[in-house]
Amino acid sequence: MTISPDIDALLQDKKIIVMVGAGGVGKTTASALLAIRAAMAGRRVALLSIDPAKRLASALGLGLGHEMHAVDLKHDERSALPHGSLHASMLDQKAVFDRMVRLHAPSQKIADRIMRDPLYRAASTNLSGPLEYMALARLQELTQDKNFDLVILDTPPDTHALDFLKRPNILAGFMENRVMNWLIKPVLAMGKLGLGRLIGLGEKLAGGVASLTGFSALRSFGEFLLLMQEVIEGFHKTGEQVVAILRDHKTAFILVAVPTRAAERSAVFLSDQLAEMDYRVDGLVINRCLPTATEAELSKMVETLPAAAIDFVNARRAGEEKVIGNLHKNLSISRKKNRIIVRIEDQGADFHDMDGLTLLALSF
Amino acid sequence: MIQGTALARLLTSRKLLFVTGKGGIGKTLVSVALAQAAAAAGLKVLLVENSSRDQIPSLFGMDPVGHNETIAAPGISCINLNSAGNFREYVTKYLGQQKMFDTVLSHRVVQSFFNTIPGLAEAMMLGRLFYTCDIREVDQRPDLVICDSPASGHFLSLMTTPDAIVGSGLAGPMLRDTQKVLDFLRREDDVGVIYVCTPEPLVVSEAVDFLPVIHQKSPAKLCGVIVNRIPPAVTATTSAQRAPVGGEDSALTNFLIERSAKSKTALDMLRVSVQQFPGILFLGLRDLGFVDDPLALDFYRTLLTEETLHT
Repeated sequence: MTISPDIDALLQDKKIIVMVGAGGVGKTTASALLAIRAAMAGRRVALLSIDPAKRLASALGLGLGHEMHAVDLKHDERSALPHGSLHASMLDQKAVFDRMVRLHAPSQKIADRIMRDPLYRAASTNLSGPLEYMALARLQELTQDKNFDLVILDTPPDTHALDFLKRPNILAGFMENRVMNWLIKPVLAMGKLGLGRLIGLGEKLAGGVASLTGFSALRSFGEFLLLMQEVIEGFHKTGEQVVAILRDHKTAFILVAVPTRAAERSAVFLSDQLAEMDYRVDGLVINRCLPTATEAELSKMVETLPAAAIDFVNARRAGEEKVIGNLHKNLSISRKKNRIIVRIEDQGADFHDMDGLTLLALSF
Repeated sequence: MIQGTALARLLTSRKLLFVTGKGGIGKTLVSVALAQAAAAAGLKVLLVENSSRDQIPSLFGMDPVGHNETIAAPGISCINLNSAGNFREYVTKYLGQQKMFDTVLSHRVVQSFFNTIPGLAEAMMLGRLFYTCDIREVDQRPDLVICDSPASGHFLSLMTTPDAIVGSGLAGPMLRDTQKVLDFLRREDDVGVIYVCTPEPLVVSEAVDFLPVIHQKSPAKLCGVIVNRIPPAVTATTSAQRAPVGGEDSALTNFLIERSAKSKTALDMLRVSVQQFPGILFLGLRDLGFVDDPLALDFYRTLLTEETLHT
């Protein structure tokens, strides 16, 4: 069911679409649906997913690799539009991280040393921060790729979803704070002078930190940062490029929500946050809406279905209406008059293959 | 209503319950309902979350409370623990180093340094839970802490952090304290993990993969699986038998029939997996269609109409 047809105009116009939403609202599915719809309307689409559900990944034919993988589009008899193409990939943060290090390290030797560092191995595989940052780094790479004219980015699935947008600034702040000067240099000095002497010299700052975490960890972290210095500067540069890309008018942010109070609160919060960071929110996808029914169908259901089912349907219909109404009212969606709101009906079923996904992608 | 049930026994016997599961399946709602049930049984409950934005207070009709323990209902307090607050309390209250905190550690630069240390925020979070349950003055200690935890993957990183720190070469008070936290989390009589899922094939297949991983990697062990949003039973035959002649089922009816069938299949699949963990709670909660907030004080009676799923 279509509330606004403008979604097709948006899919034609934009170069980047960033899908944002709380965990569990079907962001990955919504991203795949928009990617398929755009590709079937002639665009050459790259879909970058982060940890998609297994079955969705297999429906898209996504392997474990992070390289872009061509997805076979289904033919649609109803549409006379020329087919574009769809490539999809899953973010492999370690691979992107490694590539970034190789790209920015001053020498092969330093790159190798970084790769061997236990702190690097921990940071590149375990942290949620780098995951978000790497998603952006990969986005930046993909925008340079001549094979694609639309990149759809499915953002990390958690409540800190927007941290990834702040990540470049965190790295920037890290440099500006002169953490290097405050902490690393005393640490280097410590190697020569010893901890006691250092504290004696009045370096209370590093001393306080060291007494808490243990000196050895502080030192290895300091050494690691020194090793990473140029790489961090490289990351910082990429971060700035990404911010520029995200602010471009050819980039759209689409919020994904489901009709529950929790999702409504999240969506309003996310849209306020985005607005605060001066990012443009262009539309809203509401997933898992109850299939619509006519009054006649509903009254027939009252006669034929168990009371528990009728109670469920009534509660859900009333709730959905409230949530969608509130979202309409409260979202700080772009300054444009037309708000794109796409309502996707709950399928009750899973998507086993591209046929199912394609059908759904053309249903709104 | 839930007195004498397996759920009541679980709530009254533990000090700390982590509630986890895939995103968006109702962890927060289930956590709050459990807290209500425990409070109704006379326990003093603390509901903990760790979110960029408070989720729990709105279910009680309150404004965000942030990192401040706030009474939400009779017998229930809530707090949204954040890493800066946890860190401050660790240094000032636990290590008793108010002066060091004020002169050194409150420094913005030092704080930003700490934000970059892998695993520190997680360690502080678990340490804070340990402190709340086991260390602080008895009269200020809740009987039960329910931690509305991060979604599956992040929950696993949270729970595996102490092990990583113990093996990381860190030294000093943090290492000693992390070991204590680890010992606390391993106390099966006091600490447990409740996994929440929904009866959908995709969600259940994730659960089937994830349950053994929790058991293997988390120091706190699995003590319950709660299946949220079990749809009303609707079968094709009941619907067809009663349908007027020539009438076709609507898309909505078909949706209900299909969802009901899928739910049954998913539950069968999950049941097999849960059998690997003998003695754990296995509970089903029905799909209420929509839950508006604030919740009624006895909302738990509506949600926790116990339906044990063991065969």
